[in-house]
Amino acid sequence: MIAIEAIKFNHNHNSATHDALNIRRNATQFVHIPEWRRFISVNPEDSPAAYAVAPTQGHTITIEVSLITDDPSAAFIEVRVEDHVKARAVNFINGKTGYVAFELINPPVSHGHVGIWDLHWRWECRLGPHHPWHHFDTTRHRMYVVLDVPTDPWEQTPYNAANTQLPWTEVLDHACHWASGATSRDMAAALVTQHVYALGPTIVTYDCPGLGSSHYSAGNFDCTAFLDRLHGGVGNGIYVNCSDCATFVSSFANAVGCDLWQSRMGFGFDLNEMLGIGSNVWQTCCGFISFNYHEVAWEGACTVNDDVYDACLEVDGDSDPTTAPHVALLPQDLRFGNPGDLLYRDRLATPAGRPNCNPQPGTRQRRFVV
Amino acid sequence: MHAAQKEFLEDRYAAKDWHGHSGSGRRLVKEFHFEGSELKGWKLLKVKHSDQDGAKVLRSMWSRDDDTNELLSIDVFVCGSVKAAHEALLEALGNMQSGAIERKKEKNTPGDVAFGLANTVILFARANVAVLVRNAGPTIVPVGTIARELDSQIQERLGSEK
Repeated sequence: MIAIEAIKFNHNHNSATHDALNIRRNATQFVHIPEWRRFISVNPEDSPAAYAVAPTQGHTITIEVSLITDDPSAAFIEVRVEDHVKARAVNFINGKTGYVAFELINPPVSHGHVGIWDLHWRWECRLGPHHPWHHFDTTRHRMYVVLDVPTDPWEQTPYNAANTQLPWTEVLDHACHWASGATSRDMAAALVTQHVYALGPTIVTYDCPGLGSSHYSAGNFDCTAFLDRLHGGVGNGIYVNCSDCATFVSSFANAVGCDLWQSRMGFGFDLNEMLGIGSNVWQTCCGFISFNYHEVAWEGACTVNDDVYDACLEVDGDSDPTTAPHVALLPQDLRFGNPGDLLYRDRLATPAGRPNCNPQPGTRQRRFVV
Repeated sequence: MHAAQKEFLEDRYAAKDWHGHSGSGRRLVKEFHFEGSELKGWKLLKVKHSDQDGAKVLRSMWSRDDDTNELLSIDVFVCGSVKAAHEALLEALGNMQSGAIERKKEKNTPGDVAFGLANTVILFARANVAVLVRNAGPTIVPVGTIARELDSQIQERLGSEK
């Protein structure tokens, strides 16, 4: 009998060029290495690995595999997974190979776009080049592909179980699904924005009764509660505001390699009619005449010249956002702009409110994830 | 909080009229916990403890018995001083988008200072404690009675801590 004992996908914690990223499952659970272990890993989600497109481009991706055998005559065999893991010879010493490096063939990360792949690998071996291949084991894995190494709040170092800011697979489950197929940061951020907005009105809706207060982002980002909400639990309740939505978008988009901030504009400005998340009624948000502030996911320095992604509301996208009829426009990769530019600022605020609706880059942050 | 936003809020909510003032003298609440029995008819679903700007923060979720359509979010900030509690109150106001929230001054208003609108959200401070009571479920419930009950419990703790 020959068997796979363990597989390491993230075998070099200091690099993301030839292997997987440093990840964890959620706030409390770490992803231990080796990711796949005999008798312990059964389903794909039991063996997660995340790869980034940008740093791996042009590099061969390798895994490290440990094999065992109870056949004392076994010494030298070839091993492969057809179409997935390149064949190579391994030596058994006292029934074990130790960890040996295998090259992946056309791994999901080489496709160059965001996604989640569940892989079923049929391991085969043969005694030599002129012998037939025989199936001897099957392993299952979940591979997440992101565009680049996740940016803050997500971290790659220090790599240990105490670092709760390593990218969470429970976030990647949603973020990679929402941004599936994205080949650029802007596309990924736009897709995440669309999916967050589409959570209304069932999963979340704008906090009219609480006057637009933060339920998931006051202080830190209560990502654990948001994930609970996404999974059908109570979470922190159904209501969200702009800071919550900005935090959802930027944190989930940054998990797939975007580079967004949560940043505010203000302070104290009157509003055009809009569609708040979860609402199908054009009105100033909940009927509020004004916002004390508004917060969005924002690129770069979070200034008038930078683009915003706003999953909290749809603005009027036509030539006159101050009056009906309205054409719903979800702000994605939309420059903030100056008054009169007919960009984000003009669509959100009334002509009288626009001078008070200014970027406040000093508020720029990426909330710690808890 | 960003200085410009704080300045805006202090002006908008006339902070000079109330900031740092308490009807409780020098008495402070040292500790506050939720056991789950504080609010009759309400079940404590979860409470998270954290430290924020020197304050002990309790973020709790409550359901009307087992009905998760009726949910309350109650945040309690136990600060080191009255001024710090009022800073926490300003911070909470700074996380509310709407400019519609107003100071409440009517009889039976909880706390030394309180803000709210339409009995669906209330934010108040009593001595060194700031409290935010909000709806978190799709069925809206009035929050005034809940806030007054919490205020009474805070005052009882004030009375016992000299």
